Amino acid sequence: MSAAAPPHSPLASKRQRGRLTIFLGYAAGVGKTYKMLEESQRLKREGHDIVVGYFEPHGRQDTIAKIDGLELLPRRRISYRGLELEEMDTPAILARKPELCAVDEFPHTNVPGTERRKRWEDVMVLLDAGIGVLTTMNIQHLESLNDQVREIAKVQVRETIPDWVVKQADEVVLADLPPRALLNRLQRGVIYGREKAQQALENFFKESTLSALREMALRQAAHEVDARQGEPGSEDLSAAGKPLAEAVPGAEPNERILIHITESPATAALIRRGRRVADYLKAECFAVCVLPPSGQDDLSKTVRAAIQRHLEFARGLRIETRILEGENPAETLLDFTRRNGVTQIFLSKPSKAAASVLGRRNFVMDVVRLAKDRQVTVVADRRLTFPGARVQVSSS
Amino acid sequence: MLAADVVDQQLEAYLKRQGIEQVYGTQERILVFLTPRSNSSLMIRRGRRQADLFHGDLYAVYIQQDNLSPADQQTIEQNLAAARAANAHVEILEGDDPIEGILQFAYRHGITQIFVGHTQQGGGWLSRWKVNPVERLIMESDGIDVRIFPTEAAVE
Repeated sequence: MSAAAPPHSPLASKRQRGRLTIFLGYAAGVGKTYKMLEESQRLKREGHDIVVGYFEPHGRQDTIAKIDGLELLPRRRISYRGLELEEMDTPAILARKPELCAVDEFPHTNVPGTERRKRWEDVMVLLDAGIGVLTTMNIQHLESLNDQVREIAKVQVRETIPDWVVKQADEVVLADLPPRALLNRLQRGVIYGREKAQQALENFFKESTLSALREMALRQAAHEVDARQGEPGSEDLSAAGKPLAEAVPGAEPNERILIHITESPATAALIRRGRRVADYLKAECFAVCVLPPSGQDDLSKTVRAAIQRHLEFARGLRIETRILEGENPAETLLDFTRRNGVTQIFLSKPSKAAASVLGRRNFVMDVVRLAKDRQVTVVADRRLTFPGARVQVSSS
Repeated sequence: MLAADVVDQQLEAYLKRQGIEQVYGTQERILVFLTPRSNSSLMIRRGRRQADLFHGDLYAVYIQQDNLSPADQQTIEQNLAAARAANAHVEILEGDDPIEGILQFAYRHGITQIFVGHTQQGGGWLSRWKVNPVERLIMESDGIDVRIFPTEAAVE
């Protein structure tokens, strides 16, 4: 899947490419920036040529103290709609060409008018130039966890980082603090000013939310460790010393995952889910939509736009996309899976509420019936399962 | 993953104290639906592997049926043993309606994925129910993914 592979083969480029270290946290105030600067200080003491390319002090005194003695590169001023805004000065870092560079706030979106839309894209440029980068992010910014985060925290995180970018990290360091301690810091006004802290406490910073996010961060960090032990490009996970119950001969063969794209709003969640499973299984991943034989002409403008949007979203996550045409969508899809050696099909579950429930239901059941020789995963639409919204099957 | 498990327990305790029902945990909980004719050993292996990869839990449930042929009875015994060997939480339940039984168990235990075998044509004890049982499982399992596995005969 050449189109879905990262632009740089890890084996070919690892030598000259800079190392990427991510300090991963679960909320503001857990100590990501602090840890990153502490590590920068250590590296400097060891004699490495390290600069701070971007630093967001947030008025936190203990963090600001940590920058003492490090070379801080000035920010670039950019005027946008009459405002003077500041961004990381990527050209200046490239010109300075340090061995290592600390860059705060990995998921940041740049001001329009800069070369690149996202800070992570700037970081990729630095890595390409052979500069090692230390950076910070929270778990809720990981693209594939977006739906889960929205459900847990009831916030929509807009600044997300595609999983393939995070996967390029050579090391993921967890910045962890128990939720109680974090709440204490917040109440003392260490993280935000007093009014903002009160607001935060009422919204995002609830103990239940923080515990859930922390758990996600811990799991992700654990997974990153597992994934790195299995490198480079190892298909055989058991060789990495993982405690798999499965013996080596029974190891899962190369999986190929197909995600079925439709206009349904549940498709975005389906794509994330499929991508995540594919990442865990180190599987290839396709996103496929089936159009009527007449192509897009028979579809309404809204349907076409939605399909287009979902295909683009999949491509953004480095998933190869295909558009098929066929009279019978289930048969067309199955035909594709057989020709391309797809081992698992991901479909979204027909919603009971949808007007077209019969059509969708029949499609899903047709695929299940036709795909007797491969695995089909029907993914639930978890957007509908808020507490109380689910029809609970009563215990008898 | 010890730390994550501890946090998971803390989270559940917190939610219970607050009277919040955890609909979608951050942990994957996989349930393998054991039936005599499904490729249970494959489902158990895959379930174990996925549970390990996601640092989650594995359950294997069999809904007790009367009138099994000796061969089917033996298969089920083997599958239950395989599930125990794979460190799954194994449960044998009784009930007239296996789909209903499986779903009740799944909701009680916060299951996120159910693994089930493709129903074979023209046979199997599940076909007593008029609607295709896999179809029922898909339609009635709110908020749970359903992963359908091929039977042994269908592969290769």
